[in-house]
Amino acid sequence: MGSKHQSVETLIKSDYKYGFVTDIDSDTLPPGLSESIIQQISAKKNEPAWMLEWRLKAYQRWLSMEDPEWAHIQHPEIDFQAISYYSAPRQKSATAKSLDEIDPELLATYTKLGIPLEEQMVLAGVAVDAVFDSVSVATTFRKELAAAGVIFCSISDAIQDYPELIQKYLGSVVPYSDNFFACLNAAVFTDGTFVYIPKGVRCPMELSTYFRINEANTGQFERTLIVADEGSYVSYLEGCTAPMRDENQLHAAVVELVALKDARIKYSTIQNWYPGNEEGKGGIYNFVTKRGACRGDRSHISWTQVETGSAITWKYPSCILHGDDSVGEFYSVAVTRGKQQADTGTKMLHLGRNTKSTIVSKGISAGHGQNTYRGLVRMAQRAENARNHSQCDSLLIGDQCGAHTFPYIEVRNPTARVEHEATTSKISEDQLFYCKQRGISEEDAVSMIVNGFCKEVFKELPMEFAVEAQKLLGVTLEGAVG
Amino acid sequence: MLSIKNLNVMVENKLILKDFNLSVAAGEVHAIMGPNGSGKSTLAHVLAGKEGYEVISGEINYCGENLLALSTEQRAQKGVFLAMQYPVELPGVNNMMFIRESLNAISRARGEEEYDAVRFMKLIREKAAAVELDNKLLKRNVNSGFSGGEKKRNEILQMAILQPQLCILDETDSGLDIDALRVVAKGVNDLRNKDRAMIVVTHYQRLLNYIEPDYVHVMIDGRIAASGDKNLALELEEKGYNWLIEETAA
Amino acid sequence: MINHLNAAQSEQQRQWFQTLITHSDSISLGQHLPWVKHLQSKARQELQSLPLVQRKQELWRYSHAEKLFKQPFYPQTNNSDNCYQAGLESEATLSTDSFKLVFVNGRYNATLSSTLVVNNELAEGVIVGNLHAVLQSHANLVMQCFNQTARQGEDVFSALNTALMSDGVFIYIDQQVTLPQPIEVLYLSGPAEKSSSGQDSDSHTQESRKMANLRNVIILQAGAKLSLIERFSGEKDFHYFNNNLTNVVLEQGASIKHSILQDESNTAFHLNSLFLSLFKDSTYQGQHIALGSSWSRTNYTAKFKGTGATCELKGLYTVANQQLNDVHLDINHAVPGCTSSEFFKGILYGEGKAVFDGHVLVEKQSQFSDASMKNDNLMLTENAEVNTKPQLEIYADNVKCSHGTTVGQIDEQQLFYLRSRGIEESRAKKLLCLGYASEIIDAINEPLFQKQVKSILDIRLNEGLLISSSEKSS
Repeated sequence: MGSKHQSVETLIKSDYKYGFVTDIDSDTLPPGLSESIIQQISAKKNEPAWMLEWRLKAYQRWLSMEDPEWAHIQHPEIDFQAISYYSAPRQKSATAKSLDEIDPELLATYTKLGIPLEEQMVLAGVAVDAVFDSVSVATTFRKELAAAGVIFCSISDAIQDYPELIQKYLGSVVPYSDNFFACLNAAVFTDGTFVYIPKGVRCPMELSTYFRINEANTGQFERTLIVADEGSYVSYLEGCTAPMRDENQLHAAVVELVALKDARIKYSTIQNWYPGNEEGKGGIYNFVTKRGACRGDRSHISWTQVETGSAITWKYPSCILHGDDSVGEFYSVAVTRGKQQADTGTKMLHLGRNTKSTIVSKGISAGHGQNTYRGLVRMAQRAENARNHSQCDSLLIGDQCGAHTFPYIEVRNPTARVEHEATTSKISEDQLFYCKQRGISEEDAVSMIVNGFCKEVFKELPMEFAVEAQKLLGVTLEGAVG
Repeated sequence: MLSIKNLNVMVENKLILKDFNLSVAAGEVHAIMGPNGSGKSTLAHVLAGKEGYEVISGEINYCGENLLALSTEQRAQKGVFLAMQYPVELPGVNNMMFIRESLNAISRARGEEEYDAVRFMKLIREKAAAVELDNKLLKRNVNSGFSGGEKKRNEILQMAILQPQLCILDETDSGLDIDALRVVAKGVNDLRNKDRAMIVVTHYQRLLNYIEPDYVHVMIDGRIAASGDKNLALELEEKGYNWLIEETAA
Repeated sequence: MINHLNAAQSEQQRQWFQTLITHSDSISLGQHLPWVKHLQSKARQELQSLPLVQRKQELWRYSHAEKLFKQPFYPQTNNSDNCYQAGLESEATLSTDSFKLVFVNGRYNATLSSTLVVNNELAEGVIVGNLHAVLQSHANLVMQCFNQTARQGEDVFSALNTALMSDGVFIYIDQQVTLPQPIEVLYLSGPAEKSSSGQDSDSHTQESRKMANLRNVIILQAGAKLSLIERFSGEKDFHYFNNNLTNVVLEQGASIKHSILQDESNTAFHLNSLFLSLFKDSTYQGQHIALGSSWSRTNYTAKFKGTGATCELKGLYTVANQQLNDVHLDINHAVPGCTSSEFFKGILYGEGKAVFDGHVLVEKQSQFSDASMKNDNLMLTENAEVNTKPQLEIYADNVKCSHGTTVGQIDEQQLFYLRSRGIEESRAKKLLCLGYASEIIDAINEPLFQKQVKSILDIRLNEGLLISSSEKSS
């Protein structure tokens, strides 16, 4: 806690410190989307025929779909033909097998972002997959993980090396036809992370993917697939940043989680894409589909997200609770300031018996930010004794922002119980006076109260990242008060 | 240490303090008594710099400085402490973390070394024991779910840790049973010394049995109507405030 | 789930509305007045262009209306014959301590209504009567009131009501006037006596599938006070559709207690849209008890137009087999410093469906708003369904807003406790249901209404939980 205070102090006035551009030679496809582009992406990655077929099917379907309009967000129409769907830093081989093969500029970029890829320097116990624009540039600790039987690699490698696993699970949770952006992702995804934890294995370290958009006018479409086999456990974290650019950039990722019998997946996100400037110019459109399937009995999927970046966030990390006694959790902190908009929440679909879900959502709106929680809890007819508890709290800072709560609750089983509560509050003058009377500055007081507001969510994050998240929150809210 | 001259303060367009005067020297304990609505709490809030109080005229000099020019936290950092009548709850904010944050903010302002975890733990354990505050309450969120007595003891604990120059106790005795009152009074008495001044705002004489004041002032309608020593408080206990109110009105 | 209507469904729905319009030629309400004519023809035009009812529309996401559009209905007109008699006397005389207006099958029945009401002699500054009559006597006042409330419903059923409105309740209370007794409005529905036959061959079909479009206008001037009770009641197995629309305008400091009991027939369709305008310091206290109908939907749309106003809604709904009970609330804090609170409880004892869709909007300028919304549901049966959606949309920071919702069951331990005391299971369930409902029922502050609700809820729960009369306690 002691270091937290200083960090906030030192980070003051640094608006968005990840906004730099790496000057690196890139192999970038021209803007535009067509069957030919998809064929080129597939060819660059030397993909098997079934993969290309799947992509083309998705593309055909996408052509017939419409951009969704139900979310509580506003943005100019996206010109999908103006986006480049593939960009990769030029390097000797598709994915570096050792760090020596990586361009030093790239290594420097990640070091600058606080993500050192040199294994000896990596945070103890965390293995990292680094995705730069469209491709994975490095995956650390592969050998150590392999010893435990854990597969942790880029999804491109996995398509080559583990085709049977990919064919079995890819698109099994989020079908290519799921929604507009998921469909687009299926057609053009360029890289991402694949994790497989074998039966009974407790993954020996935290796994982490760090996403970085660098190139201008590109979209990032990564695809993550995590399969936890029976009785296994994995904790996975993703982080994201992008340079400051005046135009909006699209990030349309898909994440699929599969938890088999007695398996547990803990998925944490710290999303800090470039949010645009105070006037709302630039920033990332973060339109992401994340879904986990608790396939087996007693399986457990837990989503934790801290969303501070992006011009627009549109994501609903969800759990399909098939297995009896399976558990789904969603813990979220979403901060919007400036002209940021967030429409985020979760879906908890209870299918199995005695399934349980917990939703804790903390929305913080400052400046002109608009923050929406949208969630669905569905108790299907056979979900005997299913339980859900949802808590959605909003904190408003200033009178120009908005906080909205749109919960959908559908119950079809008479033994199911659902409880949903929502509150809206502001930081009271009395609270600020009390802190100031004890000598604490207003900014520190706000940061302290906001961190207190988010505590229930932060405690779900792995230790190192909880500290990260608190710092990030302090920086994000810098100057939002007063 | 503190000198208030001809202070006029409005709250919501109503004049509450009227040409108010008070001088407090280091080492002194002043009790401010008076009926409800006489402006006692307004005085305490104005000294601490709470918003919503409009100073129309007058001056407050604190240790040679114009107190009114200082922000709330600057006053706190310079040693003004207000033990509040209704301490607020801070959901999710850990009590110990909060107190340490406060202590270090004040230490920094004084140019002193900040407290590391070890030194701080030692300090807070010792002080908490002195005010008989359960260690469990230190781990809870600030004032959240505390009983009335626990909240007041938490205030005195903070006062003991922050070691202020000027302590203002606003109705610290309200809502306390006799045992809690004794503990709180002991905490206050332990802090009495020749360098520290105290202003004890109270409605009842009861507290003054435990905290013996050097001066007693009675506030009626925004100004001091009578001053004296502790015997004035006893007289008030016996006769009530009405005779003074009548005298003031006459 | 199919969200889009296919071409055939769209056509069916357009046709359904068109048929109603075609059959409505004989409507005579205020046809001699150009402004009424204009209003109605405009509404007919709008019906052509307004979006159709479909699940893709957020407002119709859960309240499926397919069932409605499969049945033809015929508009109730003032020329329609109506001789429903059975049980009328007892229904209409249930209470004696109120002023009464009675509508039978959508037509005003002067015989059953209080004489004072008909003669507009209730009190100084009070005009109460059926719309048809008041249009004759106070045409200008009615026009002013309509102007004040026009253009509120932007949906097909509101437009349909305007296009086909045949009668309704008109209440105007002048400044500072308080009515000493409640006004009670009864809407009774049932089959005509055989003696009324002698018309053309399809008269029976028309008789049994009537649609009534009553339009109520309630205006309370500054400081006026009123207690209004509305009760919908229908004979078992009688098919009909009530599409009511009520406008309530509360001027500064006016206050109304508005109690509604919907106990329509088990085969009825019921749609009731209420539009409330609340000016400075006015108070609306609504109580809504929905027990009947095969398909029922209630829309409350409240808009605060002056500071310091209060809107309080309390409701109870029950759901039996094949029944849909839907409550939609739309509360708009358009000005600062107003208070709204909504609390609805539902009991599902049959294989039916409950829908609660509440929306509170606090606009940017509306600081110091206080809004709370709560919906609780008790689910007793398999194959029942609750869909609840309490929403907050907030653009101001200095506000107190909360919502909560629960779906749960009867507590097994409580049930066991009652049974261990020898109480038969269905009877024990009923007691627990009544206990659950008491939070709403006990808060009813109109004794006359409370009494009615208690007795009818008792009957409905006995039916729903299959309690034979021998098990009933008094």
